[in-house]
Amino acid sequence: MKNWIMKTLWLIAALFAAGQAFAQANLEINTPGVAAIQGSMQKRHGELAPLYASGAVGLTRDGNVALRDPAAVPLAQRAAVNGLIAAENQDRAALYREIARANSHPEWEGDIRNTFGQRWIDRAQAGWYYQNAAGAWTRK
Amino acid sequence: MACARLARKASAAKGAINVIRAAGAFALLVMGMLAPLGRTQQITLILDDLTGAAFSAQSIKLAFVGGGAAAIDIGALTVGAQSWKHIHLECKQLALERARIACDEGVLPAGEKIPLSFSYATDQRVLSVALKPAPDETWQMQLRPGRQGNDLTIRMDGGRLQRVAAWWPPDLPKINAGVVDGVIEYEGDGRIAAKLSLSNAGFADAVGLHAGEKLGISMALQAEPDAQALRWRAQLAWSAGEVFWQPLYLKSANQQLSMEGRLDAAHLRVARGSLRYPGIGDVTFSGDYDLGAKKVTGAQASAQAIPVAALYESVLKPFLDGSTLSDLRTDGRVSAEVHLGVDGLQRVDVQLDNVSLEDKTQHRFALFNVNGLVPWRAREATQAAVTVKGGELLKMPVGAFAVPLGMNGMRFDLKQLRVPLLDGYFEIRDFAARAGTANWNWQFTGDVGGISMDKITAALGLPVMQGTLAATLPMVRHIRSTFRVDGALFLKVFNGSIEVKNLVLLDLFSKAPRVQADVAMRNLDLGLVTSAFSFGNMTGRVDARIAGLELVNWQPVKFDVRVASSAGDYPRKISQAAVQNISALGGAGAAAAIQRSFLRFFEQFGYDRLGWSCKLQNGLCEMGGVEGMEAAQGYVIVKGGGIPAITVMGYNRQVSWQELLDRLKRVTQGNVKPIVE
Amino acid sequence: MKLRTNSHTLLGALLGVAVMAAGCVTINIYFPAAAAEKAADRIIDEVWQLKGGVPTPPAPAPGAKPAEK
Repeated sequence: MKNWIMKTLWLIAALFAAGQAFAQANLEINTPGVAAIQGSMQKRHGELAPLYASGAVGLTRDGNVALRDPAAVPLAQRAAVNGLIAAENQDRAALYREIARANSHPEWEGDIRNTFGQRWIDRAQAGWYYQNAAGAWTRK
Repeated sequence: MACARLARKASAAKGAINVIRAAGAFALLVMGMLAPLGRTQQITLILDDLTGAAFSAQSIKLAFVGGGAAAIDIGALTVGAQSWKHIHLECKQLALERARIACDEGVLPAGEKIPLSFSYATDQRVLSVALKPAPDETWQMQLRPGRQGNDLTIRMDGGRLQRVAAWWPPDLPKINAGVVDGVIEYEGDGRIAAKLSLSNAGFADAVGLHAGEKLGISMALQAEPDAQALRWRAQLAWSAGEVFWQPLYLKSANQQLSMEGRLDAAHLRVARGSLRYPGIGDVTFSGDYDLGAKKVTGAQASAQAIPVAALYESVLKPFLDGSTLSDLRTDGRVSAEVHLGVDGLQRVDVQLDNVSLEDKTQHRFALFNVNGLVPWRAREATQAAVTVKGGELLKMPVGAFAVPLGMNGMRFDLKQLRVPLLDGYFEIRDFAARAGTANWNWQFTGDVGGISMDKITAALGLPVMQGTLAATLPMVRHIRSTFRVDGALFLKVFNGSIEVKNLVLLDLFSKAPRVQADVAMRNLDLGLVTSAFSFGNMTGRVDARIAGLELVNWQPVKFDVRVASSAGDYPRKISQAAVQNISALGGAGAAAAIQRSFLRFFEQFGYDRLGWSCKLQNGLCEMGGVEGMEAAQGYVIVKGGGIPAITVMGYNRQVSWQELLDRLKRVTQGNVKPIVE
Repeated sequence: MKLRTNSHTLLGALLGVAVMAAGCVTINIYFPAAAAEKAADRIIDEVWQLKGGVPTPPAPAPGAKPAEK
C-alpha cells in the first residue's frame, strides 16, 4: 500500500519535472529583436560568404568571425572587410544577448554564445576555415 | 690610427707560418712587402683591429691557401649601428701588390654564396668592398681617410630591402619587398648625408592591420654634429603605392614630409616639421621624443583652412565606420591647433568655417553653416562659441541656433540649447557629459513646445493629427548603453495628455533597441484620435493606461493596456463606420451581421461607456472589455446609452497580436479607400 | 515520519508534492543545451540560407579574391 502511494508520488513528481523539461524544450527565438538581428546578418552573409570561401575570414571558437588571411584581401578593401567583420561580430553579440533576454535568462548569454560557436562551425561548408579547440585555424 | 706592431714566428710544421699581429690597415702593406710567398707556404695573417669612425673590423685573419687563393675571417664587423660576427670570406685570387691588395672574385658564404670583391689601395689607404648578391643588385662600400678620421660611402644599386630587415625594429610591421637605390655618405667628423629611393617596397604585420604595397618613397637626410648632439634635416616624398593602417587606407598623392631637429643621447627633437598632403592641405608640427622613456614628451601641430570634405573622405570616414556619421556629405573648412604635453593632450583649438554636414543617404539629420571657435583646455574652463545657421532633423527643418558649450577637461556642459524645429522648438537644459571609464555618461532636462501636430505628424509620415505638441523632458540620463528617464515625460496631444513614466531605452543604437515604460493617457479627444487614424468617427474622451510596456526593435512584445471612457460629462457618439470597424476587429463575420440588421439605418449611435483591455504576452493578446461588466460568454466593448443605443460585445478572449494588427491595418486602410460594392 | 493511515499517507503525499513544487520555484534552471542547439540551427539555417537548394549565393564581396594557397 505504502509502495503504491510512493509510486504515485514519484509519478506526480516525474510529471512535474517533465513539465519543467517541456517548458525548456524550446528556446524563444521568435521575437522582433531576434528577427531584426537575423535579418541584418542574413543580408551581410552575401558579402561574407565569398570571404569564408577564400579563407580570408574564418569562424572563431567563441562564436565570432575573424580575419584569418589578410593577404587574401587587397589593401583598398581591407578596411571594408574589417568593418564587415566588426559589424558581424556586433550583431552576433546582440543576437546571443537578445536570445538570453527573450528567454528571461540574461545570464545564459555566455552559454548561448558557446552553443552557437560550436554550431556555426559544425554547419560550415567544406573549405571554410574555423578555429579548432587549440585555437589553430583548420580547413573544413 | 696606430702604426703596425710586428712579430714573426717560425713553425716546424708544414713550412713557415707567419703570424703577424697588427693594428691598423697599414699592416697589410707591410706584410705585402715582407712576405713574398712561396708555393707551398701557408701564411696566416692576424690583424687585430681595423677601425674607422663608423666602421670597425675586429680579429681579422687572413689565411693564404695557396695558388693565390685566400680565406679571410673577421671576428666582428661593425658598420654604423649594425654588427656581424664571424664573417668568413673566400677569395679565389688574392692580389697582393705593392700599392694594392685586391680580391676580384671573392665569395661571402652567408647562407647563399654572395659574390664579393674588395680592394685596398695602400698608398691612398682606400678600402673598397662590393657585394653583388644578384646580377641587378650591388652594395658598395668605400672607406677612405678624410679630413678628420675615415670617411665612409655606401652605395646601393637595386639593393633588396629584405636584406636590411634585420635592422628593422621588431615591433614594427615586417618589410617584405622592395628595392633601394642611393648613397649614404658618412664623414669622419660625424656628418651624414643620405639620398635614398625605395621602389616597390612593401611591409605587413601578421594580423593584416598594417600593410603597405608597391611603395615608392624618396628620401634625403642630412646631419651634422653640434655640441653633444646631431642636427638633422629630412625630406620624404611618397610617390607610389598604397598603405592600410587600420582603419586608414591611404594612396600616394605625392605627400611630402620635411622635418628638421636635433638628436642626442636622450631626445629626438623635431624643431620644425611640415606635411604637405595634396588635396587636403599643410600641417606644420614640432615635437620631442624621449628615447629612454619611449614617449612623446611634447608636441604641437597646426593646420589651416583644411577642406572638410577631403579630410572627411580620406582621413575621418574610416574612423567613423558603423556610426551615425559614417555616410556624410560635408563642406566647409576647418583649422586646428593641437598641443600635447608630458601627460597627454593640453589644448585643442578648432575653428569652424562654414562647415556643413548632412546624412547623405538616410537624411536623418543635417547641419548647415556651422561657424565658431572651440577652444578646449585640459585643465581650464573655456566656452565654445558655435553658431549653426540651420539644419534638418528627420527631414524637418531646423532653424538657426547657438551652442554655448562649456568645457573643462573631459567635462562638457550646456546650460541651454534652444533649437527651432518646424513652427516650435525643442530645448535642452543643464546638459552635462562626463567621460566614464569605458564610455560617456551624460544627462539633461528639457522641453518641446509650440510644434503643430499636423506639421510634425506629416513630416514624420504619421497619420495627420491636430493640436499642438508640448512635452516636458524630465531628467534624461545616459549611462553605459542605457537611457533612463527619471520622472515623467509629459506630452500634450489630442487635447489630452500622455504621461510616460519609468522610461528606459536599452541599446538604443543597436539592431534590437529595447524600450520599457509605463504610459498613462488622459482625456484624449476621441474625435481627433479617430480622424487621425481613419477609424470611423467617435466622439467622447478616453483614458488609456499601458503598464509594463516593452518594445523590442520598436515593436511591442509585452504590455497590459486598458482603455476606458474618461470620467465627466461630454457628448458620446459613435458612428456606424466605427461600430463596423470595432466589430471587424473581432473577425469579418461580425461586421456583416450589423450590415444585415436594422442598425444599418442609423448613422450615429449613443453610448455610455467604452472599454477594452489587452494583455500582450508571447505574441498573444488576452482581451477584455469595460471593467466590471464581464458577461459569462463575452465582454462589453461599447456599452450603449441614449437613443439609438448600441452595445458591442467581444467573445474572443485570445487573439494573436499579429492577427489583431493585420485586422486593424485592413480596417484603417479600408476606410481611406472608396468602398465599391 | 511514520504513516499510520491512508489519509495520513495521502496528506503526506500532497505535502510532498507541495514541497517539491515550492522547491522547484527556487531550483536553478540549468541551461537547456539541446534547445539552444535547436534554436541555433534554426537561426543558422536562416542566416546562411541553408534550407532551399543553393547553399550560398556567390555574391560579389569587397575584397573577395580566390585564395592563393
